[in-house]
Amino acid sequence: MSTLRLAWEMIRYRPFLFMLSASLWTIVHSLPVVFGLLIGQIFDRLAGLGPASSSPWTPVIVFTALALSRNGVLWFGDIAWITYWNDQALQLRRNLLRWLLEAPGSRTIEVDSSQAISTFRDDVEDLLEYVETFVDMGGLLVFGVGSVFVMAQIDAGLTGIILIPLLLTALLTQSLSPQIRNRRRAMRTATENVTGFVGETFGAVQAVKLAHAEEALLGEFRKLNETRRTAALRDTFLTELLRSINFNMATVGTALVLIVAAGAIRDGAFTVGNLAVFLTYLPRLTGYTAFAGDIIAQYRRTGVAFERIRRLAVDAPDDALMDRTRVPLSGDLPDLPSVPLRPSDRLRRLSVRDLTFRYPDSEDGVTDVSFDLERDSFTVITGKIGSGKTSLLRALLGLVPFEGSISWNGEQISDPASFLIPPRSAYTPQVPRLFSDTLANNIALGQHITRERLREAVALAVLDTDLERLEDGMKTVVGARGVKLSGGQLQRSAAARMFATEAELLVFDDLSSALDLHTEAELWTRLFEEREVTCLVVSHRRVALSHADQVLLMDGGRIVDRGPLDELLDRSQIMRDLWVEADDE
Amino acid sequence: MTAPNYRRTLVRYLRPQAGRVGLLSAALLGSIGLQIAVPLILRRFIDSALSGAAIAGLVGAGLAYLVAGIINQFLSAGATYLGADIGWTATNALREDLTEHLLGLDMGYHNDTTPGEMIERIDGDVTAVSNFLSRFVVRLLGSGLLLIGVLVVSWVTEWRIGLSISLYVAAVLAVILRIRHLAVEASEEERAVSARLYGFIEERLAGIDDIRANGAGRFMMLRFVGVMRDFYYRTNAAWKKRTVFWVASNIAFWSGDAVALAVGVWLVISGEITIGTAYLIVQYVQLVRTPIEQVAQEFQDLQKAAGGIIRIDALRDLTSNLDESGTAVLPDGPLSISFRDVNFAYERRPVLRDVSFELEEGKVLGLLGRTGGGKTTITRLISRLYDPTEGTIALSGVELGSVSPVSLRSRVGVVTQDVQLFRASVRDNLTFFDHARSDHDILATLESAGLGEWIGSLGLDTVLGAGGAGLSAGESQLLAFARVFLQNPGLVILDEPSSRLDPATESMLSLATERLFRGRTVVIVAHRLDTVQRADEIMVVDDGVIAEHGLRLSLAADPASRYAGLLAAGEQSDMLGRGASWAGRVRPEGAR
Repeated sequence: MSTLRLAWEMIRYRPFLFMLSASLWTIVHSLPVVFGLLIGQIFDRLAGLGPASSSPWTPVIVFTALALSRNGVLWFGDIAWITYWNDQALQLRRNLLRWLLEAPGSRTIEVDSSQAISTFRDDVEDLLEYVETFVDMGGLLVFGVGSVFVMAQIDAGLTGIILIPLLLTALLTQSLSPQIRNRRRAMRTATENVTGFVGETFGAVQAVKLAHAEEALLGEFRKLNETRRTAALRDTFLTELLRSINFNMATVGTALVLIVAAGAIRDGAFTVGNLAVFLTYLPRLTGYTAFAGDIIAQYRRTGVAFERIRRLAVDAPDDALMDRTRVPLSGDLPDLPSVPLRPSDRLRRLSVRDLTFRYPDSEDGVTDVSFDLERDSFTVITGKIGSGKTSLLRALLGLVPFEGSISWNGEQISDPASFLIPPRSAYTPQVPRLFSDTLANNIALGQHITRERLREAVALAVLDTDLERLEDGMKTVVGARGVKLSGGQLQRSAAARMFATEAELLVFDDLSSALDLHTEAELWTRLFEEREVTCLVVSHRRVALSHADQVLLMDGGRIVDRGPLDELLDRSQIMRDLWVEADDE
Repeated sequence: MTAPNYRRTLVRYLRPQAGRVGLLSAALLGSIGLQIAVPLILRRFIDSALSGAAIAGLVGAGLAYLVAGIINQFLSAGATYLGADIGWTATNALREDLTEHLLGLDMGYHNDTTPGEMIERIDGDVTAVSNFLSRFVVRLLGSGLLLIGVLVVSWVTEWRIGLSISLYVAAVLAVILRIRHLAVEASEEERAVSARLYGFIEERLAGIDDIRANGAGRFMMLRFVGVMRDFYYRTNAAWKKRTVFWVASNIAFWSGDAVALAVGVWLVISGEITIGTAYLIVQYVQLVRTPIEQVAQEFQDLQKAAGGIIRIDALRDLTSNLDESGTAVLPDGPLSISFRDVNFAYERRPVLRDVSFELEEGKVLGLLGRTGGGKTTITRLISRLYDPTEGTIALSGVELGSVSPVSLRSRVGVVTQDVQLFRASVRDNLTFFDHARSDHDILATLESAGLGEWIGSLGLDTVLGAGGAGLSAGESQLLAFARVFLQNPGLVILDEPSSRLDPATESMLSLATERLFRGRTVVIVAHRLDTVQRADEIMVVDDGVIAEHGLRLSLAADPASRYAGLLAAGEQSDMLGRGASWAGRVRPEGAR
């Protein structure tokens, strides 16, 4: 989608609001043409020029009335524009987030989280600023053409001469404005480094004291501070330079008028009112030319911003990003429909054939993995660190793009990402995430879950005793990313979330990382008592391995052996090593 | 709370830059003079042209306008740049002083603060003061002088002009100062709602796998609608406030233009002033716009800076509870430890009571006992993060309080459970940014510790992510060991991690532990059976007292000892067919 087309799509989102803003701003920007004429009239009439009956008070009164009403227009124009801006910004952000969370297919976010947030915030704002140029453009054009026309009527030659510095302003702004943004960005990064360092230093203050490293750290802090100062000054320098140049162009223009018109003024061919007209128009004209100079840079910036949005959205078509469905800003929100389990959803067998997935620019991943999983069976994937266990789960669930086929009861699944979800399948990743919300909402995730079912899930996840100790029980707000819970509580809450779905297939990745031995053992025991469950788990725990109906042993991204544990221990050295290491731990 | 001491702060941080401050003042004064002069040139031009003066004079006035205008612009740009430079230099010095001071406070202070608070204190408060230091002089003084200059010239020109411009300035200042809070509130509200919006998005992106694989996408989008509505209405409201402020001050300024024209017309018609002077009024009214805005803004910033200065002064008044003026030096080689009747209370709550024990140099002491029983406190007293409330602690006969901090920190090494890492290179993380250490030296030391291959594969130049991202838990632990090897102390305090590590690093760690113990006195808070078995002596600490202390082998042989009980409990806990995981989980009650 071209950048212009993009602007058009955005304008079409709320065309009426856009047109209203644009019309009001056109009035605001073009009125100063009239102001110049009025001020010229006032001074000509003061100088005794013009018709004998004319009083200088008439233009003074008209000026005052117009200047004040212009502020009224400005008020409505601003309100109309903010309403448009906020609505449009939310629509773009909604479309982006919805695509990432809801759209069918697999996708991995390839940028880090601060970059992603910057896309949601700054890149979206860049697109809107581009639309904003269209709101202003009409008025600026009217003012530009109008004021040049008025001046040319007075003295065409002089008008031609003063346009030259204006063109220079436009060119300079155009060439400098990308640099200004770069420098500002550098300044922001330098600031983040300083604050980050302060945070880390005081986060590690005990280690710093024990190592008596206060001096060395201060040295490092000084360096970061100095970098920040330099970056700030480079930013200030360029901004000030550009401002000076713009301002100076207006001064140069004015001086040119004075020098060139000196003779004409004395002869009366160029009146004092004409001078006042030129002097009123010039600073505003310089400002607007600087704006015009920035339009090209703005156009480029918008292209880059949209590219970044596309990159974050991975495979989103432009239509989805520009979807014009309104964000419901008022009214009741619909209830989430509960998804019933159809008879064909009942799991009998899950078959995976030739599943292959590679991380970009890396050899890591999984290659040609095939296996079957029967109802009510317990399958454990094990292997050394980096052998591809987690990758296998993520590919199977369609979280990352993969090759190969996955069938549910013999029927091939076209899009695992939207099929392997509750009530068919549920998942707990190795490092599960919770969200700033109540524990109940984190576990239910919007599904209507009976109290009974919730209590069972919590008990199964060995979270029941913790829950008694939490002040607000299920209503406890877990804090950003669940920070108010301990690591173990967080992991068990995620397990409870999975159990609460009562899904046909439970997929979970190494529960052990934040659980102590006893709690983990309790969890396994309770789970094994619950016979009606089909599990696919990653683990290297003896307790899990010895309960497995089949063990899939992975190495280098492939399943190198499979079968009951006893057989594997008999014939596989890798399995024996893992078993012994598990013992040593 | 005392009144902020502006003068002390100003003098302390501006005096070292006296030269640049002088230059800044000169640039500022020059620029102000020219700004007042330029409209006067224009007046002269208009009046001479209307009275039919010679062309040369007019062209001269035009040239003077050009030169004055350009010089003025460069002077004011230069002043802004210089002001920024002075401000950054001063506030960086302030930040550094403050950081140094805060690093010197004892752990009692740091336990009660979060890193986020420290960022706010060191960067947030200082930035508020920074505006005061860098812009206050330039803007408030500069703007003030410009306003005064314009008023003086107006009064001299014609008293009615002087009066009307004075009234105008006073009226606009009053209006703006009255409604400025609207703009400030608007910004604060916007910041608060955006933090919520982007916080929501950030959390969802971080948990994208959890959401997608549990089919929660629609639920999250419904939740997002709630957050978006809140954002929309509150941002709109905030923006409206800003518009009120903006339009109101705009009306005030445009009224000024109207008044200037009216006064000019009136006085010209009544023959009091020339047309050039009438134009001068218009120019001056436009000239005072910016200074009025800036004066209003600086009043606001001054209040913020006052808060900042008060808080900074309060921080400076804090002192460390540890006297670090000792000069005694600890001997080379392994150190002995002696505790005599040591009591320690934290916030008046007794933590240790009458603890006395001796540990010979080169011995390994295993500390066992319930979490919160006092093990960690003993290790913190030995490393002198705190001083005992009563009693004495000596290392190799030297009383701890009399040892110089440098000697103490180089002779006592500590590995804590949770390893604190920086977003910096592996090298900087190993040496704590001590650039004096050569790579050769680092590699040789780690080679002899058996960590050479590991550090080689990791790479000294590898930059670690925030919180040590890029390292596994086991690797962070290895890095903490490597730090201690580089320090080469005579006494090592080791608080073993209680979480389990991946098997590969586990064996490397075990080997490194063995090497670390050679030729050093060691105190370990152990969580693993095989580590405990390296101890020569065992001490069980419970409820702040030593419940048991003796040779490991003899305690193990005595079935009545608590240590033997712990061992038995450890074997029972092996029901998963795995090695026991110690303390904290295996409660000593099992021994009873």
